[in-house]
Amino acid sequence: MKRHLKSRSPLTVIHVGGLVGLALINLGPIFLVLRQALAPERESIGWPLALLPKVLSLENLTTLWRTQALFDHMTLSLGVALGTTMLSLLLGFPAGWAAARSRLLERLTTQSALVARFLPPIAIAVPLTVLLIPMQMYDHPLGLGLILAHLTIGLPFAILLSYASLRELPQELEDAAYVDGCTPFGALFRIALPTARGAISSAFILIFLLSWDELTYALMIQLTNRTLPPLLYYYTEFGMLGSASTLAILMLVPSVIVIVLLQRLLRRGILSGSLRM
Amino acid sequence: MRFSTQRQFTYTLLTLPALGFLLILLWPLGVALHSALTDTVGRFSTEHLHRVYSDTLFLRGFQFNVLIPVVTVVLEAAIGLSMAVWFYHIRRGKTYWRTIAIVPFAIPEIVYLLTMKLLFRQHGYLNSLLYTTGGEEWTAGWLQPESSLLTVVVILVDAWRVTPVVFLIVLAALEQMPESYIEAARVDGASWWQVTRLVQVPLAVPALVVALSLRTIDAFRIFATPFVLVGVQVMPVLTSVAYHYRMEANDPSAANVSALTLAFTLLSISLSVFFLAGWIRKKRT
Repeated sequence: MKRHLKSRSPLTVIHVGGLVGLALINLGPIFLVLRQALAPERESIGWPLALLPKVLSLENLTTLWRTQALFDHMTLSLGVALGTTMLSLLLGFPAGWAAARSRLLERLTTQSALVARFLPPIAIAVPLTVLLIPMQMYDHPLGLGLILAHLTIGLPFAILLSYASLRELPQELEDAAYVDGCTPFGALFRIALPTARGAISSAFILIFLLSWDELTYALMIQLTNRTLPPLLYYYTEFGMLGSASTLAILMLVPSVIVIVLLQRLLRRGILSGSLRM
Repeated sequence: MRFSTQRQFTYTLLTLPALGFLLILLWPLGVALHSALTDTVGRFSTEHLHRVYSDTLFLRGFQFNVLIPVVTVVLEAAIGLSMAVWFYHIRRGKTYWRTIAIVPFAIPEIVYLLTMKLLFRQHGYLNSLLYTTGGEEWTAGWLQPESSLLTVVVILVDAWRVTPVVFLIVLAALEQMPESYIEAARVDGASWWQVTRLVQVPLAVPALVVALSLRTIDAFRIFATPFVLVGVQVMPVLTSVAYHYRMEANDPSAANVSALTLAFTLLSISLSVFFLAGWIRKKRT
């Protein structure tokens, strides 16, 4: 195909131009966020805006650190994301394994997970704002209510990803273990868990990011103890784009790590397996 | 026999916590339904339904909630498919270009929307660039409430973020296809356009159907894009209308009506989408 493209130069020009354009459209805005974060806040109200900042400073970061208890917001975000991920996998992996091994449970489990996956979060979030209050979990400083809410997103993913990967694992492996006197729990811990490491790590990353990026529940449940996405939203809403951009850069750090990891997962086709019904 | 019963017992035991949690989800839904359909003393009444269904904010929200997802999904399908066919031909540095292509989806949604706000706001970077090249008359009110461009910008921003999902699934399907199909067509003298139209696209359809059935359901749950870019009042959708009723007007019953309307619409759409997708797949085999 390369030969084919080279033989017709107009096509090559369109091809290269298209790729450069794509890079500009997708990476340009990220450069703007970086630029906004590193320039003093007063520069974001100038007109017309220059593509490069006049002064470089970390003023936004230091202001955020002083006025917003930034550290607390970051640890809360991290804690909620980690809590959601661990709980989702703890509940979801055994269920996914059972669904892959038992015909009786297969349809029930996968279909409940799918229905939960397609529920609009807002339909759960609105009643939760009322229900969590008597449970002392509304606007909880450790984000317990938010973890509960995020589980509705994370658990279906954990179940479906584990199910999809374990279904391809031959039953014979576990049968051999049973013959050697292994209990079903032993088969789960000694056979399924080690062989599904790839699926578990991809589920871990995906669920962590889903929780880390989540806005709707966070906006409605954490009113004062905010995680990073609603905090960023409020700064954008009040026009403090320098501070918002600084928060955005902080939020990007785990995402960038994940983009790199995601490439490896894509190569192994783990994601397509989980998306297939 | 004894072993198999023991195993079945363990399987069920391990499934219960997860299924239990998913069942608990029915509880908030029930509470929402109850709050939407009862009056202040707890009797059945359609008062909230009448109130919300005659509110202009809700009605505008409903219109946008149909318009935006439908156009978004069509755009995603077209752009995602073209990009996949295009990327299929890239030989050098494909991994890097693919990484760049999925950036809008890989970064957090709120960060993506912030970048779009920096770009498109009245005194943002796009207008600055246009102003310095062509003067005042070149600038446009991309996100101004009275602007006719507003809907176009919101739809494009929303579609561009999720196009990578369609793109990735279709690209994976294209790459699994044996290269001999294309070579055979090429030997028969097919042009690249004929190869694309008659070989690649038809073979990508099953993957496209899967990708789009997932994306259609997600598209109808649209919340953050119009909410962050322009706000509830300018461009309401059912989710942001529910947010407004609950958090700003402090009217949980109205919020539940709006949210449940979306949930039930979604339920009927997802059922029809899955039946349709299954039917298309069955028809092709």
